[in-house]
Order: sequence, then structure tokens, then C-alpha cells
Amino acid sequence: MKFSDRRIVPPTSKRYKSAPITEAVIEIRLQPSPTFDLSILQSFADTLKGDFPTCAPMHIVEMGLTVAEQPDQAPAQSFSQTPMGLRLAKLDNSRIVQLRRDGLAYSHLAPYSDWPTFRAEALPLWQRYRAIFPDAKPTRCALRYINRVDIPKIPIEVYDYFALYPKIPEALPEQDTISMTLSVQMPQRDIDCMAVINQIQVAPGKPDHISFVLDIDIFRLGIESWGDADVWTFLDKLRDRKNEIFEACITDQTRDLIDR
Amino acid sequence: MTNVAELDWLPYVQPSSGTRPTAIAISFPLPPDTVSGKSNAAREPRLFALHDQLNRIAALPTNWDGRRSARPERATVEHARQFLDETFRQTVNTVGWLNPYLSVSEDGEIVFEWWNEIRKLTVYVGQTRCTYVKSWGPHLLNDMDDGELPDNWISSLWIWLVE
Repeated sequence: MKFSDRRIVPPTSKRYKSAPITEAVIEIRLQPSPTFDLSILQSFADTLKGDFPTCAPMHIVEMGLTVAEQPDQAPAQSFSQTPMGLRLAKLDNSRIVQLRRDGLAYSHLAPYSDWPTFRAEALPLWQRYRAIFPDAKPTRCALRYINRVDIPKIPIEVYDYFALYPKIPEALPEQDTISMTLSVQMPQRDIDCMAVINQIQVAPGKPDHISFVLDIDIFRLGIESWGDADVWTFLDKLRDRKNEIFEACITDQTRDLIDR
Repeated sequence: MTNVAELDWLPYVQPSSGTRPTAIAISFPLPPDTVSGKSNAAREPRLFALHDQLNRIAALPTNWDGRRSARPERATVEHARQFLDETFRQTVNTVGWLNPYLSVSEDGEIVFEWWNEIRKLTVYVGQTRCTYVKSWGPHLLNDMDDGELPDNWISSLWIWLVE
């Protein structure tokens, strides 16, 4: 297929029969409490045990290197692990909630249902989390949708399947690639947020396939003055923009693959 | 390639507008946390292949090896997924990540094995607890240590493995 023959933009939102979403995340961050106590989150996690029976601690790892004062001394290394929250999962592996000292992230894993369901599940969890930190100001709200597209053909021209791809200079003697990582940060000035799009060729999900991750992370910072209702209204806007980005980044050949 | 040679190549790497689209690069004032601050996904996309392997492990039947070995429980598999993601997240940008070899023990625990030359670290992930065996030579008693996996295992065992 010649590039010029490719149809470029149908920015409509539609539900695909085999949506390639491997994980969708709603995340809202708060200013971290200076007197954070993991036991508070543990008590909250205990009340969720019926729905989320597995629970594991999460840590922040920090490494330090102190340069020696004397030239013959080796630099001193330090390494610390600080508790930063809990990660809870459903037994069927379909939902994960991260209760963090600086916010909550709710993940819907494959198979994806739909935005109203996802949003309706996350909201009450957020409201209960928020009640633990009523005075903390929101700092960031985000949606992240990670898609994996398995293409049953080798080799492929990446631009037959994706409208976003790295350009290999035509003057290079070899044009084949075996791995690919592309990351772009695109300000969305009309709605005052940032979109980070990562496209990565990953190990194939199925034999004789080529697999790509299309990871769309769209977020807004500087929301300290917002109330909770503002945040959730804005998440709806982010979801619409995420759909526009996804549709703009794939081609009809990918639409055919994910609508079977 | 010298700078002169790179300059010779410049006409060939100019965007060929009209055939393929190009990006318009702009300067934009980014808040300090913008670049590194990804939203926190529960599953690291770079670990898809290992999660697929855990899916296959989760689908094993009882007596999967013909020796009456237990199949891993769902809670064990989920615990292993959390252990995998958390270990990746803690190590990838600090001391470095190594892909594990994944298997199942006869008791239905999920086994993570890492090698670094003669050093070997094995972690057995059960439903609620993890244990480890570390070894650094052929002697069964003198060259190994084992126990319950401590909370600060990254700063002790992982550092030992990768240093």
C-alpha cells in the first residue's frame, strides 16, 4: 500500500468487537500528606477485601551515591525502600486499585467493558479514598489507555497499521526494524492538558504475529483549586480526547483487525 | 562518523514532505514532573510477555506434570503478578532489571529464577508469602542461604544479585 493511498482520519468513537485495550487507568493525585501512615490505607483496604482480596505493599526505591572526600575512597552507596501504598486486585484479575500516599489509580484490565461502567466503578472508590484525606488538594488527573495490537502478518509496513510511526530515512541501506520505541508528548492546548503517546513493538502476544503497544496517557496538572466534581467532569473530556487520539493513530487495517 | 560526514548526509535526512507527514516541534514550558510522571498503570506494558506466561501458568490443570503436583491457585497467580510488577518498578530505573525464568513448584507456588553468572536467586511466590533461596556456588550448604523474603529484599537480595 502506498502511503498516499492510506485513508488518514476518521476521528469517530466506536466500540470494537475485540477492543485492544489491555489496561485502562483512571488516576487522581493529591498533595501527599506529610504525616502519611500506611495503616490508614490498610484499614481502608481491609474494608474492600470482599471485592479485592489480594493486597500487596508498594514501595518507592531511592538510591544515593555520595562522592568520597578523599580520592582513594570509594563512593558510598545508599539504598532505601519507603512504603508508598497498597495494591489491591480482584481474584479474576480484571480490576486493580492502587491506594497510594499521593492518590488513587484504578485499573480496568482486559476485557474492557465501557467508559460508563469503568467510571461508575472508580467513582465510589475515589470518594471513599478522598474521605481519608479531605484537606489534600488535587494535583493531577489522568486517563491512561494501553492498547496492544497483534498483527497476524510478518513482515509489515508499520504505516499500514498505524498513522503514528517513526520515519526511517529512505537513504538508509536497510529499512527493516526488529524493535521500535516511539514517545511523543503533545500539549492539547484547547483543553489545557498533555498527551503522552508511546508506541512500542513488544514481544509478540501470539505465534507468527507482530505486536505493538499503543499507550495513550493524557493528563492535566495544576488542578489544586479544583473540586472533585471538576475533576470528574474533566476526566470525561480526557476520555473524549483519548478516543480522538486513538482513532487518529490507527488505520483502517487495524480497525479491521480489532473489529472481528 | 565525523561531523563532516554527518553534514554530508543532512540533505538525505530532511523530512520528505509531501510523501510522509512530519511532526512540528515546538518549545513548550513543561512543569518539572511532566516527562517522568507517567500515570501509574497496574501492569507494565514491557512485561506483557511475562504476564502472558503467567496466564499460561494460571491455566495449568491439577497434576499438570503427571506427578500429582498442585496447580497454582488464582490468588497465587495474582500475588505473582503483583510481585513481578512491583519488582520491575522498583529496579528498572535504579539498579537494573533482569527478566526472570518463570515456572511452578510441585506445591503450586510460582517460581521466579534469576541468574547473574554464578549467583542465583530463586523466589517462591505463594498465596500470601514469599520465600527465597540464594546460591553462589556448587556446595549445597556452604554456598546457599534461604528464608522468608524480607520486605526490604530489593536492597539486600536484588542488590546482591546484580552487583
